[in-house]
Amino acid sequence: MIRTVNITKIYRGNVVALRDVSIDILKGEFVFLVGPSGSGKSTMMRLILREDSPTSGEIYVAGKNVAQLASWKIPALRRNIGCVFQDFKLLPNKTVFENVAFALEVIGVSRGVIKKQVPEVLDLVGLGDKSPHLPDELSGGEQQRVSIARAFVNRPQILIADEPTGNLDPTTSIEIMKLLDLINRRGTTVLMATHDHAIVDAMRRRVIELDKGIVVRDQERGVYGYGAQV
Amino acid sequence: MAIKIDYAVQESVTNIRRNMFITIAAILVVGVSLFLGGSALLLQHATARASDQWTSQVEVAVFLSSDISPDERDQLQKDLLSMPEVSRVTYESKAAAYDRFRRLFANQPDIVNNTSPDALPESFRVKLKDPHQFGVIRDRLDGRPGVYQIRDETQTVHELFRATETQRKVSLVNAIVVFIAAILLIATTIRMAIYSRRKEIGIMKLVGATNWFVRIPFMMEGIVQGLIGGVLAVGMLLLPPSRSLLSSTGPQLAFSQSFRFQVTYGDILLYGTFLIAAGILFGVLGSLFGLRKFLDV
Repeated sequence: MIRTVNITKIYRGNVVALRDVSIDILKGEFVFLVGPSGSGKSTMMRLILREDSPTSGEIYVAGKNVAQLASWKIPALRRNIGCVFQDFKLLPNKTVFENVAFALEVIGVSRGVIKKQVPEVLDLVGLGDKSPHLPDELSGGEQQRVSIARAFVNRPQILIADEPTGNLDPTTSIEIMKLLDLINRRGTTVLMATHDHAIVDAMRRRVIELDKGIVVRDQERGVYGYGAQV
Repeated sequence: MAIKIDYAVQESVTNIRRNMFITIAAILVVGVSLFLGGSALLLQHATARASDQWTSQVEVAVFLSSDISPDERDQLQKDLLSMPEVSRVTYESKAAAYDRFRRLFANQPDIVNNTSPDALPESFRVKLKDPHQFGVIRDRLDGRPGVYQIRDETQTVHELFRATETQRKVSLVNAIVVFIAAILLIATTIRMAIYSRRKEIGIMKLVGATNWFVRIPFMMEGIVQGLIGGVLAVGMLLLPPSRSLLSSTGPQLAFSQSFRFQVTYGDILLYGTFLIAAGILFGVLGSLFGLRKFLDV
């Protein structure tokens, strides 16, 4: 589903963000991307979303070579990828319903379909009753659920989560992880970048570790760090 | 993907309301620049029309000496008629000249009373096929016995037009400078609108909105600003002061009605349509400039 072939990304001033990275994430997998700040996790996410292009190498997302993608095809690519962020990125002046509906509106989905799909996905994330509320009126965990609902509402093949539990307490984080796990079990490939040892260790899923732009570990049913293995 | 019109309209209305002052400034600048440019164009139009009208009406007057014999006069008329440039020749007797003189100076009885009917020369009024060929008549007839003086109105008309020409050029240059300011101001308002909504745009792009979906509300905003500015310019042109400024009366010509040119409501409406279209174009250009940086995101 996501495959990179020897990608290298060098930013201006010869800053190497990724060096010769080749990973292959299969359809339906749940993968943690771990590593210290500056290890290249965010760059990887940006390249998958085609917010940026690699200096060299190839990236295939859902079968398409993203690095070569014509710019007018980028929106179509992104409709296949749901995104969840540490800071939720909700629109403060729109209600929960409107925030989720927004993702459908901008891709031209009809109003009838929106009215049907949004409540469905809000029920899925357990916020069926919060529909008319503004993001400010919700807890952090609830806001992250809204953002997951938004990412998932058009049933993307891939869900990318960048530190989705970074701003949440451990209990709430577990709730969010259960939700991502549920989405994964429905067939969506999930790639999650995180610093959260406890979650990685508890989930026992595939772990890819980056350090200074190099893949230092790619392990099925892994844990967060070498320390934990000893 | 169909772009929903109601969505785009709603977005641009919200933007305009958020940046009210700068939007008003942009609209005013578009209005003023189009007003200046429109004035210049209307002036040119009226001048050109008056010029055509007058050039086609002007005559060359060949005044005859009082000692000319009837034979010489007839010969002169024949010669004039045989010239290929001449389209018509009319004879004006002393009596007819005096009649016209009285009419022209009807409000100055002193002048009329002090002039005897005999003092005015008889003349041939020569109408040319091409009014600019006045020189030909003079070349052929100057110095011929019996010809007292040859006068031409085209020169007066042309001098008049030269004066308005300068005026027109100055206002065109002014207009162009203000045109550029208008486009830049629209670009600025668009950029401010984008800046205040960059978070929203970021999310739109992440969930797969096409560039056009994101751009169109901003372009509509620019177009609305240009459109209102254009309407404003037409409104200003329709006000009485600008109309009287544009319509002026020139000096009285020697032997015709007084010279004047005028901007009509019809002209204003004709050019107004053009100005509003130009306003819309400014809006498009301005928003494209404003969006340019955003296009490569």
